[in-house]
Amino acid sequence: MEDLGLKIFGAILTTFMAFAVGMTYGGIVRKLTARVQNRYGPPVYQNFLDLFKLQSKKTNIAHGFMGHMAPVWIIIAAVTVLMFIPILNGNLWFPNLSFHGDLIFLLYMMVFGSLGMALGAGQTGNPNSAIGVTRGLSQMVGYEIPFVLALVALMIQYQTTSVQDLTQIQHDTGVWNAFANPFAFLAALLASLGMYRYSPFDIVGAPAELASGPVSEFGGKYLGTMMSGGAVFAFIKLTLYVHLFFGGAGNPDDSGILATLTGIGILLLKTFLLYMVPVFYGWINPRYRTEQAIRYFWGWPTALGIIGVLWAVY
Amino acid sequence: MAALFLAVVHAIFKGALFMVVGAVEKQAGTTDMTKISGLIRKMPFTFFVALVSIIALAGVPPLGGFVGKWMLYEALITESNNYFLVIVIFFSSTAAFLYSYRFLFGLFLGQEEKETEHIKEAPISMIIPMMVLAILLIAFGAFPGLLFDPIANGMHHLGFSDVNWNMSVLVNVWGEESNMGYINLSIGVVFVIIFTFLTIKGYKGTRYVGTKDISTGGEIPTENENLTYQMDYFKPFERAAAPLYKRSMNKIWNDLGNAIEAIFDFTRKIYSGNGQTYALFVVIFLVILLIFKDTWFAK
Repeated sequence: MEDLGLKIFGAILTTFMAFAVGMTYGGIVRKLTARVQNRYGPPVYQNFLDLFKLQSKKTNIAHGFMGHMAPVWIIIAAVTVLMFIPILNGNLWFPNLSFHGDLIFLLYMMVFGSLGMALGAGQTGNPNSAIGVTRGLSQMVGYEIPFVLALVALMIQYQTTSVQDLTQIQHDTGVWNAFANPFAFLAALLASLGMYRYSPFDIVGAPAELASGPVSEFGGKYLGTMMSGGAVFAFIKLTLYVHLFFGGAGNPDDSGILATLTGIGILLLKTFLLYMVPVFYGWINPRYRTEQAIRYFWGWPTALGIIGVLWAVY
Repeated sequence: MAALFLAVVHAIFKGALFMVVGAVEKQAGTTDMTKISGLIRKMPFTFFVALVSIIALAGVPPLGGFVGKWMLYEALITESNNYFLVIVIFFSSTAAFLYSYRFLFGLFLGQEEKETEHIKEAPISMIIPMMVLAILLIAFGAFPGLLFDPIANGMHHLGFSDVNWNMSVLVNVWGEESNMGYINLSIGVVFVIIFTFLTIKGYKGTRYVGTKDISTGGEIPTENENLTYQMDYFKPFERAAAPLYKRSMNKIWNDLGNAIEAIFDFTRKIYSGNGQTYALFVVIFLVILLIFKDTWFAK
């Protein structure tokens, strides 16, 4: 019973940590972007203020059942993926069901949130939302290919589909997967540019073009929920990348407070550095059209992914 | 094992989807997506069945399609060396999600038109079989063991080696597992929590608005304005895959036909209509016969 209580506590703690870290990363990125663009920018905790403002609004109108469900599904996807990734390697505080799911499940679960938002945006009847959903789904088909290729390359190379084992193998051999299978890493990195929806792939939620695309009909509490879901999702994808390619964080032999804090610190550092890659790329690029984005993903990143799979096989 | 499970689930959701389309056709008289759309308020049960079937088709957890696909991937990655097939299956699964959204959006979501005002929900006799199939799909997602038992028995009788199965846990050869019970539990818990806070608390204060009451950049659409977006739905995708469309099979068959016609055109020149040419042909033929008189041609 105490074990169960500890597990539930760990789950809630993980959720809050992912949420807080995700929102803070968003705030830091907004500040950095502003400085690059020669203005002062909002304070780092601006995302939290936005969330409080949105949550305190009352919603007057409703667009039907799927409109209610859309933000719920995004949060479901984010939190479920969170539960099945080991945050710290082998730590007793954050195992969180990571023994009960593997990489293929995570691949499919990430799609669940997009499906929810697509359905909710569809019910509102706004043609802007519909166009945004079309573009978003097409782009998703684009970036899923190199991402899947990279993950399959890893799975084949190490003959395992569990994130825990992949991290452990990196710990044992001492070589990060980013160097053990560089083609897979490059393919996954280029695919992640599409996932975070920074330029040049932000055609989905382009404010000046589509009135924000799929989210244009959600306001108040729904928008706040979607924002927090998006923040958790960003953190989760970063953590997954760090575990798969950069050796994870945390020491499996030690579960004390100090080791946990050190592990979290290293994790935050690695995820932040990894997050800077799409952000940097976004500062200097204009926006791609959807077909340009899809063709981009099916060009070099797919080729790198295929080379990665061949590398893993031999 | 994986293939048989996937075949059963496929049959179930295909059947359910066809029933859905049949119900819509009976009620609306047409299935042209440019004419009818936005039926979700009028046919909610039909929409529910369609939603469950599409989720199972795309292979998204927590329903049965994911179970089948998971086992398929595991079998392909662990047992065989056919990695190209894995990639193609992943791609087809993602693209399945893309095109099945078109189905849902075309019939149920989107703008509601005035011509569809008279459509009511399908009769009970049509809904009940659809719901039975949908409930089956949900059950197979949470407890795939229900279907594993008959399949494993059948395979045992057919002579395959004993297959390992479990009620709601999928285990693969390398030892990793995917516990559908936990998956569904976590999804259910999060759903209940967030749904309560988000929707049910503020439900009484909200009123339903039609699909014309939307924010389109500051303009308010009038009653008769047509805002349906159904034609050319995946134009960006088509534009992206345009180089693949250039070489179509039609062109290949046309080219083949033209080539054969050119050959025939050439051989037709024998019939020149000139009597002297025909006489020449006869003479040449006799000469050839005389030259090859003693070879084995003339024996």
